[in-house]
Amino acid sequence: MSNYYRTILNVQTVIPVNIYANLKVVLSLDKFNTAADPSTVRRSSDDAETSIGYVTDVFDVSAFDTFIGAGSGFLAAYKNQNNLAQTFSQTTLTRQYEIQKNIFGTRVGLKGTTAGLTSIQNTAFTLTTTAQHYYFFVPVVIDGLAPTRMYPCVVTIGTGTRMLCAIRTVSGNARMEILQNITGSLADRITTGTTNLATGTKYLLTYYFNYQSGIMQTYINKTLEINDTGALSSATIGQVDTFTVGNFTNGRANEAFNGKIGFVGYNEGVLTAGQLSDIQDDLIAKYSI
Amino acid sequence: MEAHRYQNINDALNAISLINQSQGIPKSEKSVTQSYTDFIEGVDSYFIMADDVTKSVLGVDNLVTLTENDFEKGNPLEI
Repeated sequence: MSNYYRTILNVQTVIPVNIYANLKVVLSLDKFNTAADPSTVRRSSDDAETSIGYVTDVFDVSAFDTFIGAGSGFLAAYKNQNNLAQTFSQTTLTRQYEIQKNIFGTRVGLKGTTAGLTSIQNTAFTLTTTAQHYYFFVPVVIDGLAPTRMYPCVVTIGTGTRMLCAIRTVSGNARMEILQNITGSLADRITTGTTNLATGTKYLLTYYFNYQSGIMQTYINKTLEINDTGALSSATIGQVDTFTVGNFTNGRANEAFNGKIGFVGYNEGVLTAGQLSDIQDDLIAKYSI
Repeated sequence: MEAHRYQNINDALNAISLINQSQGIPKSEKSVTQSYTDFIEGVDSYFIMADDVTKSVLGVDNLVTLTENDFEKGNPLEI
């Protein structure tokens, strides 16, 4: 167990990642918080919904199988495990993620629907505007190269400012891409990586936005992929309207993430190199990457 | 991608209501799932993504094949 988790995340022996105050969003069907509420799952056979809990710290696949029977199971809602009052949900049936087993080792993944409009979101998320350092951690499997730009995570801030964590198909290859919109006089920015991401392969993608220095960085697993040090005079960003997983907004065409998502973590505030490494190590191990 | 095309929002909402009635959605007021589908606002039109359920309820007369030109760019950095 890493020093970071032992000393800062207050890790317990059973719960590999307890909640660290700065890890403001933890979205997973697995258990990261001893007090976490289960997710709400809908089954395709009759659209009934129920809560599915855990076996130790992992999604209860047996209970899931019993509930869905011969049909499929879809995620209607899950809690932010660092703020259980905060629910991320999808109220439209055709836009809900299908829960698929054994995607990340023995852990489940959320698969976008063929309709291509999948998303799950919280529309009343409040960003800590003074943090100025924002990290997103997303274990993914890419299933296809369309749409040409798809979004594992997007945070919309106020009326137009956004942090966009993207995957972009360039010359027939999927690559990481990081984008930010800033309302006002500061320039919007976009940077695409050069390393090809293979379909069907598990990756931990990390996106980092620094609103003090303007640095935008991404990592593939633990390797620095994008290091954009473009100029940005210290920007004060406003409150967040919406935190969306898997699409640009709720159910938008042509931008839904085409693949599986295992976990979404969002950190506010500076992480040291060691802390960043510890989080990546833990997620890589946990999601069999 | 196929979609049902409507000229105004009320027609799209009525269509969604018909689909929900046919599917018995929502199952209850407590259900997270409140609607079978939702419309997408396009350029001068409203679209409902088509599948077997929507086709059986709404028919196929207003089906169109969507193109990127039917929507505004999702990424504002693309000008």
